[in-house]
Parts: sequence; structure tokens; C-alpha cells
Amino acid sequence: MSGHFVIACLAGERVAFASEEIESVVEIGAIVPVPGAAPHVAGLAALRSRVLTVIDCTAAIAPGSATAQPRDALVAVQAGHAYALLVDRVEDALEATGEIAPPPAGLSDGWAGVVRGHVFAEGRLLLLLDVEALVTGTGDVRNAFNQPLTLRHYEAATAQGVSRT
Amino acid sequence: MEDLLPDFIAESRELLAALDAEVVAWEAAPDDRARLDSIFRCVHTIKGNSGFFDLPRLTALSHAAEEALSEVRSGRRAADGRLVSAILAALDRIGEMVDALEGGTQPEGDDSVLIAVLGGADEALGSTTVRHEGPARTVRLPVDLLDRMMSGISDLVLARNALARDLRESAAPGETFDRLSAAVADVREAVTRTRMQRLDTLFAPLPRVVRDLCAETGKDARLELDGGDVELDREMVELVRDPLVQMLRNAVAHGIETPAERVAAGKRPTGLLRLTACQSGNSILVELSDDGAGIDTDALAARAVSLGLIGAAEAAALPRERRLELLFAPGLSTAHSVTELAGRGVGMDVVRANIERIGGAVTVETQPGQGSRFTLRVPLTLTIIPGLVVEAGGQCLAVPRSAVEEIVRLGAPGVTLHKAAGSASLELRGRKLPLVRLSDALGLPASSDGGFALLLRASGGAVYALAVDKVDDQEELVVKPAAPPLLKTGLYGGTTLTENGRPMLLLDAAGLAGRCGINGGEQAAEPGGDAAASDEPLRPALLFTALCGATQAVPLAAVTRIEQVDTSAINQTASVFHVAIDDWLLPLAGYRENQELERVHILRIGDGHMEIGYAVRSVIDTISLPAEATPLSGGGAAVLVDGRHVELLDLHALFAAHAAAPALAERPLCLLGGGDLWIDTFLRPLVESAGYRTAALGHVSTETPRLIILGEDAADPLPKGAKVVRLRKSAGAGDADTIFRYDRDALLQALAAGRAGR
Repeated sequence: MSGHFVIACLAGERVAFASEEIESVVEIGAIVPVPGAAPHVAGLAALRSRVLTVIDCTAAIAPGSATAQPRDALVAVQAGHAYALLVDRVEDALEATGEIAPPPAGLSDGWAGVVRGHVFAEGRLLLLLDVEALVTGTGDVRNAFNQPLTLRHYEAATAQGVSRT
Repeated sequence: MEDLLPDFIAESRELLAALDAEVVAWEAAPDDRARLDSIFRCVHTIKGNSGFFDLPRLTALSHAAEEALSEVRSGRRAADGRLVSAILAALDRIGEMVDALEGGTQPEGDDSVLIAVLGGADEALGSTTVRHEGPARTVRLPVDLLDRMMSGISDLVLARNALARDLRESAAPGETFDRLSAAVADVREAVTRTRMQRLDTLFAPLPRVVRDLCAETGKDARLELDGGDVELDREMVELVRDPLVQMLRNAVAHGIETPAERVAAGKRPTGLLRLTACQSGNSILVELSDDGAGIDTDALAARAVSLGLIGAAEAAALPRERRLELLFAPGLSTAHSVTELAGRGVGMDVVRANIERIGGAVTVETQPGQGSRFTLRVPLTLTIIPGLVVEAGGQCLAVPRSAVEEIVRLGAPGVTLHKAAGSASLELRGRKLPLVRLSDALGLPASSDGGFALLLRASGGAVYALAVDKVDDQEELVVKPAAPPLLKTGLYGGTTLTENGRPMLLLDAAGLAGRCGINGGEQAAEPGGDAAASDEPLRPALLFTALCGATQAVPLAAVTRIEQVDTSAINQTASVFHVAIDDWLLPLAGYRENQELERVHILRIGDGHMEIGYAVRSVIDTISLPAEATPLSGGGAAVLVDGRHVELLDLHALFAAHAAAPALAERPLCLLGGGDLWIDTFLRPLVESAGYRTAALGHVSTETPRLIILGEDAADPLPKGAKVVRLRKSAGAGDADTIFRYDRDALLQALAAGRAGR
């Protein structure tokens, strides 16, 4: 199976979103904070007459951190609600070849909760992110997070994925 | 063929939804041929359609149901409860198959037992459950509504063109703008209508629910429906569904008695449940009443005490209405045993919370032995509500107008703030309310001490004060549902956009109260749980200037009302003063004659049993009584308030002196002679409002009446031992023993004197 993916840069990594989950790519202006909400909820933003719940993907993966200079966001609709997923940068949209492989082993806890597989595209291996998990936020990550995704983990994952394709 | 399947599913659902109610109604009146025919036709249609789509299992089952109904039509079979249950079971099964079809799977399963029962076999049917339909994804609209929307859009386009021309020509767009506004309003109204749904869809499955409940509990009840044509927002209909079913369960399980109990109580064996809906302004009122046993408020209180929800002393002090409110306390169920139906953990607290979340309210009234009535008030639509925009910690937030009882300015006279370690409260007109600072509750930067407080109604009717920096205007808010990550905070009910297009959060008044630990509202204001504040229980009191000029105080709990009256309403009989308030004579204390005042304030002071009035010159303020009081030599006590000596009213002495005042619970009997129209319609209300029970003269009773009132020429034999008042019809001087019947003062005095036993 092949599919189209939106490639974004997030917490220093290149990640993929299934294009059917992404409605559009927008630039987010002012964000109105939501006091009392989970740390990964950056706030609310208006897109014409729609209200988007802004999810800071960096914070969802690595609690305590936040996307610097929020600029690009992916608009996704989950269960009737529109979300804007803040990423560092949206890079490209491309077609992947091959199957969606299961998540690589050895991901740090922050990533493990939001990665639903990996895809192989243009000679590179990309983590495929799960929009639903990003939106929900993984509550237990807060405690578990003390080791960010290291290059070693990622290389191991890459090696695994490549050998399988 | 595939294209037609969704239509088949939608049509089948519609048919099934209507059928449940039809079948139950048919069971009640098996001779109703028209109803039987209509049921038969529906089943026949489903069977025909299923054949068309090649769904053999569906065809076989609907065929069996159709056959059974056909036998009843031809008179070969009786419509007994067994057959009706089998038909309902078959309809449920068909519903399940339709659900499976929608999920894209061929329905699997074995219907042989059910088909056999439909065919007349005597086999046991498994218990059935009421179908729970998933949210419908399609909407059927009348074409004329679509036409209206389309023409509204055309108007919008034309108005926009006109506006564009005005802008090009730099003309003032006054009239064009009005046109645009009107077109927007039209379209908005039409689109709102597309969201509306008749309550029939909500009501249709309910007779079936009642039937099943009766079967499970061995009770007998009939459900009457009214107001199914009232329209409500689709989403609202979904949100009201579960609370309504729960209330219906409670009514059958706890409200309606068993047929034997009903007969013993002199009622018809079949209980009557009435569910009515009507529109009232911007709300829909849904009322569920039953003619059952009513709610035993004492049992409620006892149960709340045994569950540790409230203390025994507290429970004893609660008035009846507050006891009834316990029904909505979390974790309370009055049933003696947890039955299959009720007491499954989903209590009235959840019902109330769910209704309040959508901006509605639940109230209950009950008459012991005669039944109860629950009223749901829900807003017409979720989408556009009036709201207040407030500012706190630099952020704008909206509050639904329906939750706001009052807005007060902090620092205004009469508004007092109390701060104890960790908790704050606001005192206003003798009410002490827990105070929540919105900026603190939301973790926003703290703001100045000024600003405003909104008095908000949280769940259970509790009121608390929410301090904000600023209150902006009231606006019509277009509310959108909040996304789950927002709902999870429990603080917000939705989102909206401000005029300048910025998103804004809509606060959930009940949720906020819950998060801040406010449950009891005004009760929680009395510190008790808080160790730091519990040293001195705060006793609110009313500070006033007595007629003698002294400053006095009376505990607020004893004051039932404050009235202002002309001194002419005060009369003296013997050495006792009385004041007439609303045709009710109260013994009056604190009053001396030859007052130069024309009007005085009357504090109505009650001990829960009787009431007396206390005349005062003016009411100063409400205060908190300090714990320490200095006993005075002549009885009573004094306290220091702001360095001033304030005499505390000696309530016990006051009531001891006026012990002759009528006890509210023991109203003396007054016999009315004549029995004519005047006595009944003119006199009787006056006598009753003066604190008597009335009965016609000639009423046979062992009780000696306190007073007998009759016409001047009536010559009935009179019971002995009662004071007799004769009324004459002419105003002029008459017999000295009679009173002109419109001499109100004399009449009231006679009544008061009679009541006092003189």
C-alpha cells in the first residue's frame, strides 16, 4: 500500500502525518490560552469563523517543552472537533512506497505514545504520527519523560525498518 | 443497489422507532383495528424491502412477525402480553440487524426460537433490552425549508452586491446594511430550524420503556404523552434523552406503588405517568408527573444522614424543600433495596448535572401520597445563547446568562468580603456566599481587589460568588462545543468568537464550582471543615435601630421577612399590639403608642412554629455576630460591633411574652354560617388568612370551634363554648353586638381576638 503523507519537522525530527487526516496547513496567529487545560493544549485559535483547539505537538511528545515560535500548524478534524497541530515547520507532501510498518522498538516514552508506525519515503524512514493520540495527550508521559528521543534510539529504529523493506 | 442501502436503513429505523410506541398502545387497546393495521403495514414494508436487498435472515424474521400479526387480524389469535413481547423482541432483533448492516456486515445470529414463539410455540424468550440508537447521520428536511434557506442565501448575495456598490461609490451603506442584517437573520432562523427536531422522536420509545419497567417491577403504569410537536435542537434532544429515561425509571421504580398498594390507598390500580412538553420563551419545559406515593422527605433526610452526607442535627433543621433537594445529592438513593432499575449508580445527581451542563435546570415538587412532578427546563438551542463577557487576569471569558443570578460591584455598600485562611466569602443582604476569584481558579495573574462579583448558580441550586475584574456587555454568543481536551478541564462548556474574531472560552458555572470545592453554596460559607476558620462559627445577624433609638441585633436565621407598614396597620387590643400584614395579624413587639412615625419596619421573627413581628425604626446592615456576648442584668445579652455596644434581642423572652400568638400548626376552627355565596367567596379567604381552619356551620365534629361567624338574622342552633360574631349587611348603626360585614378592621380584630382565645 502506498499513500500520501505530509512531512513536518517536530522536535528536531522529521515526521509524517497521513494526508487524509490533515485538512489543511495554516499559519497560526494569536493563540488564546486555555487555563487549566493539559500542557499540550496550547490554546484556541480562530480560523475564519471556526475555533481550532491548538495542540502543541512538541509538548505532547516532550512535556515541559514547547514549540518555539509557533508558526505552521496542520488542521485536523477528530470526532467532529477541529484541531491545529503546531509543528516547527511543515516541509513537504510526498508519496510513500511500501506498507506502513509498526512503530519501531526502543522509542522513548514520549514518542512511543504518539507514533503509530513508520513509512519509507524518498529513501528515508519517517515516523508516522497518530493524530488522535497527539490530541488526547498521554497523561502518564509527564512522569515517564526524562529521556528525550536520542539519536541512538532513532538509528536503531531506522536500521530495523530499512532491513524490513 | 449499494446506493439504496442507506435509504433502507434510514427508513427501517424510522419505521421501527414509531412501531415500539404503536405496539405498546395496541396492547392497551387490542381492539383498535386501525392501529393493528398500521403495525401490520410497517412490518410488511420492512419485510418487502429486506427481500429486495437479499437479506434472508431479516426477511424470515419479519415474515414470522407479519404472519403472527396476520393471524391476530383474522381473529385466529388473541393479542396477549406474550405475543406483544414476542413482536417487540422481533422488532428489537430487526433493529440490531439494521445496525449491523450499517456497520457494513451481514447480520449473524439465530432467530429460530423467536420465530417459533411468534408462530405460537410456548418457549421462553430471553430478556430484551431497549435498543439504543446511535446518532443519526442523516437529516430529513422539508423541501420548503430548503427553499427558504436558498432564497435567504439569494438575498444575502444581492445585499452583498448592493453593499459592494455602496462601497465603490463611497455611499453610506445604511439601508443596505439593514438589508444585509435582515437577510442574515432570515438565514440564521432557517438554518436553526434545520437543527430542530420534534420531541416525538424523543417520546416515541418511552411507552415501551415504561412497559418493560412495569414488567420487571410488577407494577402497572400508563404513560400519557403531550407536546410531541414541540421542537428542540437535535443535539439537545440527544442530551435530554438519558436524563429523561432515568427519571422515568425512578418514577416507575420509586414513585408508582404496586397495584395492591394503590388499591389500598384508594387509587386506581394503574399508575398514571404524564410527560408533557411546552415551549416557554427561549426554553422548553418538559414535565414528568406521576400519581404515585410521592417522595418521603423524612426518609430522604434519614438516608442522607445514614450515608454520612449530612449530619443528623443539620438534617433535622432542614426545611422540607431543602430535604427534597437532597434527592439531587450525589450517591443518594431512597429505594429500600437496590433494584434492577434504579440505584444503578446513575442517580438524580447525574441527571441534574447533565441538564445543567447544557444550561438547563431540574426542579421537583411532591405531594405525599399524591405523586411527584419533575420539571426539566432546557434552552431551545445550544448554538446561540445570551452570555456575559467578563475579564479576569487579562483574559476575556464568557458566562452563560442563565447561570448568573445577580452582578454586584465589590466595594459597594452592603457588599462585604470576608477572608479566612484559604477561603473567602462574600456577604450580601445577609447571605453569605463562598467567593471564588476567577483569576485564582484559572491560575491567571492575580488582579486588584476591585472589580465585580457574579452570583452564579451551581448545581443543586447552590449559589456562589465569582470575582472578576470587569464585566463587559451582554452578547448573543454563537457557542460551539468544546473539544475533549477542553472538556477534560471541567471548567468550560464551549467556545465562542468575540466580535473581533478572537476565540473565547465559555465558562461552565457548575464545573467551576466543583473544581473549587463548592458543593453546598451558601451552607459551605459557614466554615466547618476548614480547621483554620472553624474557631468561630460566623453567625450572621441583622443590625437595626429600635423604635426606642437603641441599636440592636437579631440573629438573621430567626428573621423570616422584613416588611414596611403604615403605623395605621397597627392596632391595640387590650395591652397587646397587632400588625396586619397581608390580612394576617401578627402579635407585635417593640412597639409603643404615640409614635411620631408614619411608617415602621417590621421584622417578622419565626421560631419555625409561630411568628411574631418586631417593630424597628430602620434596618442598618447585616453583620457577623462575635462569639462572645456580655450578659445583661435584666436578661438578654450585648455584643460589641465595631466598638459599639449592641443589644442582642432576647428571642426567648420575646416569644415567651407572646406565647398566645397562634401556632402555625394548630389553627383554630371557625364555623361559618349561612353557606351562601358571600360567606364562601368573600369571607372564608379572610378568615383562613387570619389563621383559622373553616367549616360550615352544622359541620358535625367533636371539636369545639373557637369562633362562629354568621349573619345577623341567622337562627341556627349554635354549639356552646364558642365566641360568636354576627355580621350585618347595613353600614349604618345597628345592633351593638353585630359588625358591619365590610368593617374590615373590626372583623380582623374580632378574628385576632378569637384566635387569642379572648
